[in-house]
Amino acid sequence: MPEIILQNVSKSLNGKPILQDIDLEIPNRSLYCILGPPKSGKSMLVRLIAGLEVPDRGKILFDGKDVTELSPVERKVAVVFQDFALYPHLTAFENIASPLTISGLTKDEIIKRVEKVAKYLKISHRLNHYPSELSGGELQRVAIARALVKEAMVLLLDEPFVRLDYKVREDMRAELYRLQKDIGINVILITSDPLDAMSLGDKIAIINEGKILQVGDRTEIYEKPADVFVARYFGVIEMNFLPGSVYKRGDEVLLKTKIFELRLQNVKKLLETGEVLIGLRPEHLSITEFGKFGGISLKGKLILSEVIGSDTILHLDVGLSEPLKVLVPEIYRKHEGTEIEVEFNPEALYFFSLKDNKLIARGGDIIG
Amino acid sequence: MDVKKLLVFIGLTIYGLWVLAPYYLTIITSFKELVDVFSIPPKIVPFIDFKPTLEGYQRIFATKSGWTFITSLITATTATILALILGLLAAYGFSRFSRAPMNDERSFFILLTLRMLPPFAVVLPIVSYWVFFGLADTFFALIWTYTIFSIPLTVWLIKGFVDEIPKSIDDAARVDGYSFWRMFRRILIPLLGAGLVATTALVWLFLWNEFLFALKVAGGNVVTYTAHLPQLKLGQRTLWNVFAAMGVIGSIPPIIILILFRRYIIRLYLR
Amino acid sequence: MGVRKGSSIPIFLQLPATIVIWSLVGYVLIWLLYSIVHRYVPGSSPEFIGLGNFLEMLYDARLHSAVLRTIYYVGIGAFIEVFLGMIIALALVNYIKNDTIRFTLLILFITPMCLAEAVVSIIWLMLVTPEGYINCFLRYMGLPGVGWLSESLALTTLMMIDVWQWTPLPLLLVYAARSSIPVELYETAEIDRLSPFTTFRVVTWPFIRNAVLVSAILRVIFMYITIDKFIMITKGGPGFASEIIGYYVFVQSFSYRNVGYAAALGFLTMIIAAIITYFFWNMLRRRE
Repeated sequence: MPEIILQNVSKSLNGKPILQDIDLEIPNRSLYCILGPPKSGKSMLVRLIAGLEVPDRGKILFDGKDVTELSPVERKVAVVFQDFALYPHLTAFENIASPLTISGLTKDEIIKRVEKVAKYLKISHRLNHYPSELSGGELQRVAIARALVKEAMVLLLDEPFVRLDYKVREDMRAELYRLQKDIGINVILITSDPLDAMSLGDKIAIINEGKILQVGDRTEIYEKPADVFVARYFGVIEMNFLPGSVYKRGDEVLLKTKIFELRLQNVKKLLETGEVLIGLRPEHLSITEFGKFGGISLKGKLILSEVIGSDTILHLDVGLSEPLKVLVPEIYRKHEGTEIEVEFNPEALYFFSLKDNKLIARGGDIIG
Repeated sequence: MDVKKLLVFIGLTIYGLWVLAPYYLTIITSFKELVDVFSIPPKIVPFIDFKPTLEGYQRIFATKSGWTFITSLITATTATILALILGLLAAYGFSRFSRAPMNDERSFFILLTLRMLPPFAVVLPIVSYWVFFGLADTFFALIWTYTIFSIPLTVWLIKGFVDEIPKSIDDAARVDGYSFWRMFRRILIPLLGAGLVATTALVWLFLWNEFLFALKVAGGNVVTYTAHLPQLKLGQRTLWNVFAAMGVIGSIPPIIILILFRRYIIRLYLR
Repeated sequence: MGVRKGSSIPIFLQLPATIVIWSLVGYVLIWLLYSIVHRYVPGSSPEFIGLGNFLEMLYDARLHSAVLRTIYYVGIGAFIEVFLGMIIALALVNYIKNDTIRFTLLILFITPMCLAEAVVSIIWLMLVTPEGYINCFLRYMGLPGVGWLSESLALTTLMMIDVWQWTPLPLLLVYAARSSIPVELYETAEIDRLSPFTTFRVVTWPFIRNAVLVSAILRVIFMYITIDKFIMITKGGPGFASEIIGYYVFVQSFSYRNVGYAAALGFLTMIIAAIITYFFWNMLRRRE
């Protein structure tokens, strides 16, 4: 359950850089999420931590010990692959037992250990079946069992839920969480689904184009995303964006957008830039029909409503170049064209610099 | 039944008879006495037109002709096994390490073009090579030559099969702690299973049927059944029944392989 | 793939095959390059003549005739095989609905190409030799025998033997391709009342085009480089009537031992083979 440190790790393939100067600190006994879109380099990161590839530059340390040149077995890591990578010609039992067959344990010891892990993952009844006969969720459990049976110190999961359907995915997330808390093993989860990170990660690292953009817990990243990319990516649904300008009018400093105005204070950094990008999460907008609370209100025509699960996403035309997305936490049906009034608390706004896309402030910091 | 269908059935029947007739004639010839072979009226119904005899086959097994089949068996089998082993290793390299030196696409292409060389253009230098080493007309020379010409085929076929195994399985084995060779033995080869069998059959068949190299690289002391056939053709005094019998026996392995592998053959050709 | 940079495993995988192959091929290449530019006949030592061998080819009438015969043999033979194979494959798929019968027929039809060319040679030798079965039947019916292996017919007879043996290759490839066409496409064609020719052009051909081309390439190349039948049945005769390029090279190599010239001829045939392959390969690439 070591503390894992990556120092200055870089890797290229065929001349193309995949990872550039990655610095990461993964605390021991944690459930660490690495979140990023496809082709961000996260799979390579898994392979490097696992020991399946060697970085071009940089070091990888487990509890201070340099493991950069060590093989996966020497590092005591276990990996659950995206496609499960179970051996098709072996039964579930033999698959799980596979890492133990070279460890010199006696046959009885192996059987005991496999049965123990299988019981923990609730697949004891399927041990005699072949991978082709198992369901997605069962394959996942066998893959995890194979990883756990050798009592590794680090468990790496590469997009483990991609091949599972919705309900199974939810079950497996809970399963994984329980597992990590019980055993205390270091779990590193690679995913492109923000929901995985939001529901599981003690700590989350956002990666894109081979670079780490931000590291923090879910609250930090949600409340203070490093830049526009993180803000857009890390949310239940994509954030709304609109341009705005900040300017002085006499003593006051004002924010002006196409649809509303605000008075600001403590705005030194904002004034420097003048033009800003405002972010507003769909979940921070509420329909006044259910009750007003005195925030800034907007009116718009309903273009589209999407029902997802037990929520509804409304797309409103409020006069911006793109519709405003509003998340309603229940099933809300109205005709297209209906005028809907929504309001939001300006403290929830995100201010981004148009120059470097980085977060300058939250509304709560600068509202007058 | 419309005219079109009738024509098609007639056409297929004619084609079928065209394919079958030569077989039939060859088989009955192998059971004839020499005098009965080419007679007018043609004797084609056993027991009615002629008395079947095993004379042809007996002659084969009484003389060195019978041994030629053993020679073919030895050379074909040995070369196939060698080509399979060497090809398996190389195929894995081409499949998994395609960026490493000697494993890249260019090397693969060079290997394949070897196969396209006309045998008649290279027989002479090959023969002179073996003569130079004093190994002309030996088992070693023929087997070595056969192996070399079979490797491109084994590599090409097996690489296709290896490509179908997800690389994550190789990774999983590595994470499980398997050494490279253990992974090869315990995971790769079992998974290749059917593909290896089909490749073996195809390569072996080709070598069993091979003629030119058998004739020139060997042909004196080391005679395969194919190289032996010209030796039986003696102008007027050709022993047709022996000839036919040799053909029948030589055809048995290919027919057996065809029957055993009928389903695979369709799949292989779909590549 | 998880192997360290600079690991020697990839090279070890290729080494055994490479060593075995180059132990012989290296010598062959050097030998060829040397012989091509030398005049090397039995009884005298090799003499450097630069491109003299190739010059000789220009005046070699026997070679020119062989080239013509090869074009005839390969051109027409391969065409018949591909065409016939295609027709029969389509007939099997379209008109034989019973799976068992169809499969049995398919297996039966495939047998000739599994046999050794040498064996096929003797099978047919017994039929076409002057005293052979075909003439026996003809004479029995009161007709005169035919000189199948005579000067005028020998090459054509050999071509027909090749057709007998190798039509199954295009047959098999086209059969597999045709079997992969979804039934719905044909149903649509029927609904649209397309004529059989249009259906073939629009539905069938796009799918079988590759199979036809590949089998054509394979047959052209292999008819060109295989001389087993010629050695077994006619030895290029009577006279030179059935001497194709490959057999001519064979004769120069082993009968006349005209090593330099044979090597040059062999080299030429390899170039031609490469050109033909390239030509066909491009045809395949276009519209893949």
